[in-house]
Amino acid sequence: MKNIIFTLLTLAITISLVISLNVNLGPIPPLGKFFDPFSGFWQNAETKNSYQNDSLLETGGLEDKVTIVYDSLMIPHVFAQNDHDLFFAQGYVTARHRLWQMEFQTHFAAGRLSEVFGENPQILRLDRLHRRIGLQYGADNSLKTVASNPLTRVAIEAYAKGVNAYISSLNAKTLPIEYKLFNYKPEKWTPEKTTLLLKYMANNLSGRDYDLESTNTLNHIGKEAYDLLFPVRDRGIDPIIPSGARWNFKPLKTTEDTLSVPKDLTGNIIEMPNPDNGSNNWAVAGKKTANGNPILAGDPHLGLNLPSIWFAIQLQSPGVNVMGVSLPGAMGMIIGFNDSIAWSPTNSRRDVRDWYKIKFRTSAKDEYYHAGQWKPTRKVIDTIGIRNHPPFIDTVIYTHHGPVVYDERFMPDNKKQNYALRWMAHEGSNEALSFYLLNRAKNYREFNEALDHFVCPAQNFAFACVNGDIAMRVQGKFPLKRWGQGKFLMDGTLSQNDWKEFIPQEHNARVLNPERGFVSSANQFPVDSTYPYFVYDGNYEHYRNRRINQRLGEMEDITPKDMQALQNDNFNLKASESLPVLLKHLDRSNLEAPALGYLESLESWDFNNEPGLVAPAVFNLWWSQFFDRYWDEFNDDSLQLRSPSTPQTIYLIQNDTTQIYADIQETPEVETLSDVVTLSYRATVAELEKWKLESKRELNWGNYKYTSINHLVPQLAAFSEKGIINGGGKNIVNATSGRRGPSWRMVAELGPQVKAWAIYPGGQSGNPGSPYYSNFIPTWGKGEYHRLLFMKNADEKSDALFYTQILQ
Amino acid sequence: MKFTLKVILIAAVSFFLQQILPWWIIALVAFLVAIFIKSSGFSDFMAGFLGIGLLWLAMAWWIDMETDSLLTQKIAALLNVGKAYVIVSVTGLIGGIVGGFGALSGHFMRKTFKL
Repeated sequence: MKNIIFTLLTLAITISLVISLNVNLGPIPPLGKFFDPFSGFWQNAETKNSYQNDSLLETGGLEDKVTIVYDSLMIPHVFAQNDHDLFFAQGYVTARHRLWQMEFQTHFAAGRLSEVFGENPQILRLDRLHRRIGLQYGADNSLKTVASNPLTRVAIEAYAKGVNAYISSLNAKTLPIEYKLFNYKPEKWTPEKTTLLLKYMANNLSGRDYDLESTNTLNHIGKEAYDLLFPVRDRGIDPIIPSGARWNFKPLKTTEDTLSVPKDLTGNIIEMPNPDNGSNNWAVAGKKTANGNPILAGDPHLGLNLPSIWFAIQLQSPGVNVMGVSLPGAMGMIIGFNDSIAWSPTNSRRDVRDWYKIKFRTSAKDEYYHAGQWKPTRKVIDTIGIRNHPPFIDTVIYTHHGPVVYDERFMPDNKKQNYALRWMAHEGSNEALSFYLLNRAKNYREFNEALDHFVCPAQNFAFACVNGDIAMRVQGKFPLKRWGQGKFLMDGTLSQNDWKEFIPQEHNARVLNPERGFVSSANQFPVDSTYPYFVYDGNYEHYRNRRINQRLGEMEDITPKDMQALQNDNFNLKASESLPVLLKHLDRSNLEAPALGYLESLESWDFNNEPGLVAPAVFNLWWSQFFDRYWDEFNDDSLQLRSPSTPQTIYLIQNDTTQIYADIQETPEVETLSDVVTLSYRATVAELEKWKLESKRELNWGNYKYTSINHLVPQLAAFSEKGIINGGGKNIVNATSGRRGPSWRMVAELGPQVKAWAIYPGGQSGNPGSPYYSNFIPTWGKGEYHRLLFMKNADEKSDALFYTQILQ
Repeated sequence: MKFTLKVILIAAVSFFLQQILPWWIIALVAFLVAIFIKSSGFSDFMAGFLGIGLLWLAMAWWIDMETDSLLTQKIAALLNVGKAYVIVSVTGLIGGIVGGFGALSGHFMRKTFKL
């Protein structure tokens, strides 16, 4: 009897041990499974030698043999015999290195993170938000367009087959570590996921608007003050298309209806992507370069994450030989060069997102009022899966404008506010076709033909060609708007507020071989005031572009090295224009020890944001302390308001004699500009002293901004790289701030042999246990580059080759 | 001698089976070895504990050395345990406990059914 009890007891212990070590306990991974050295995380620990084992792979599904040559940077060079095999192989190698990230990003866009992470109110809200703003809706629309074109249909399907060939080769050992940590498995890749990924990027780059903040602000301060503080174009802009361009077209006409803005005040506004997602690009003509070849440079600025947003690759098959960076999850090359041309985009930041106030007939919301009649709505029932939990059911109402994002289900504070979103990312567009054609383009004409298919997110494409041409084109599909349309919330019952026509492709602003010998863009206002259409965004950049143009204007005999140096230029133009004003108004009486020291550093500063200097940290904090106090009128806890732009602020403190905004509202005294400047300087000194005590680091710009490259899942901080010492900052050509910056830097020289140098803050592998996970970061941090190996064919010999893989 | 043999047998059979089967096969191996080779309860537990514990410890230690602790350090930071060697030791300990209880279950099973 005793033995039976012991048997049952020990068996029970053993079985419950095994079971409890095989499942997640809250955030803790399944410990037995995870620590098992035969198939747990230990199997994800790799060395450089781990890669050479798979030299011949029978993947099935290929039409011909594919050769993949890896170079010492772990960049794959894919040599295929046809389009199908090329994209199959791209899908395969990308999944080999980035599978988890590919799936995570598309789950993110599709609103499916709760399926992985379980019950968490913040994650559920994010899932609901992504569904409500219609990323899936846009992806579904795009999938139809992509599949209706034979070129992109082959590409998107072959890519999916390649990813799936890799997924089916996985076993318990080789599963990426994040799946082991969160204890789930990858699902089949589909063409739909590729379109979701492109909408994920469209959201990152065109998903920020200011319409509701602007509406709040307008209704709060009135039209006169609003127009004074928020001009559509800032003073002193240097547009992308140089002034003096002639517009050789007859513009479409718009109506002159006066705007009537609903009197709504919106307390809570949905989360939107960081508005500072931006980029630099430029191309210089042979007449300005040392050896007469055009040079193109580009560096997109995005959130700095691991695994990196970019995956470098070379793709070659009959008709194409292209190299650069791809987005894991999408076929083709997004930024790069081929034997004839090079291109790099920057974000156009044009307002292609508008909000419409919807009037429903009844609370059942079956009908809404538009153009004088009641029209039926469409209801989409979204079932959001939650791991180990019943699903969450959400209903999203669609009107002809788009999804009603704000309603009482999602924004319960705003019971009567039903706002529908009209957004260019909802279009069934085929950007994949643009990239397909761009990868194969040989000249300016083919570059333009490729871009004609590019809808959203609108980009400024810089172009250079071995024949000597340089060009810039502002490309996207833009609704034709009357002056001011879409700056604010619009009345959705009036048909005059609808998007009806679009600006014809051929009217999009562009320039070929301008007199000045260079083209450039850095997210600034695209055109001068002669352009015959209404162009608007709430956040055009004002500093990087002017610095770049100033430097390119004065540079001669330019070499690729000079272009690399310019990408790493740390000159703080904003500080050079604002610090003198602050210093002029600072009341220096009663300043003591640390305050005087910081002042000295500021006064001897040459405005370069070098990492070892104290002054950039002092200026950065002082400016933000000043800005918040000066514009305290726009800092309301119950209402999200817009603050005027930095250039507008600098203009006002230089020129405004009334100084009505200087007064700090919560104090009984009436402050002057000098009071606010001095008060914020004292606060800055106190903050910096506190920072020194808390961080225990030496105060300098590099330590203060503390550039960090974080794993996509915030809890996995151990897989992040923190505290990279580098200069630059927001509004600086080297746009490296704390959490965002140049996500890829490329300089390409378009000579008889195209040469290119590049770097990105990450590594080719997405595996935190790989030596190739973050190996580019030290080079990137120092502002250095790797020369890219642009191979002619698979048999080319080079010391930089690592190993060869054959797929068949 | 018999104890050492059991430790080696558990480790060796687990090593081969773990190439293809899920991790919990180790509990079954220790269980079966304890059923078929007779010892005291303590000895069976220790044979399971050491057989699996040492196997897992050795594997983990070897991978850790080969990869210069690159991933081990990140896992240590992730689980907030500081040093890489803690992760290596915890690996051995988890394997050991499962192996030990597996063998102990086998021990009592043999006694119950007088195998």
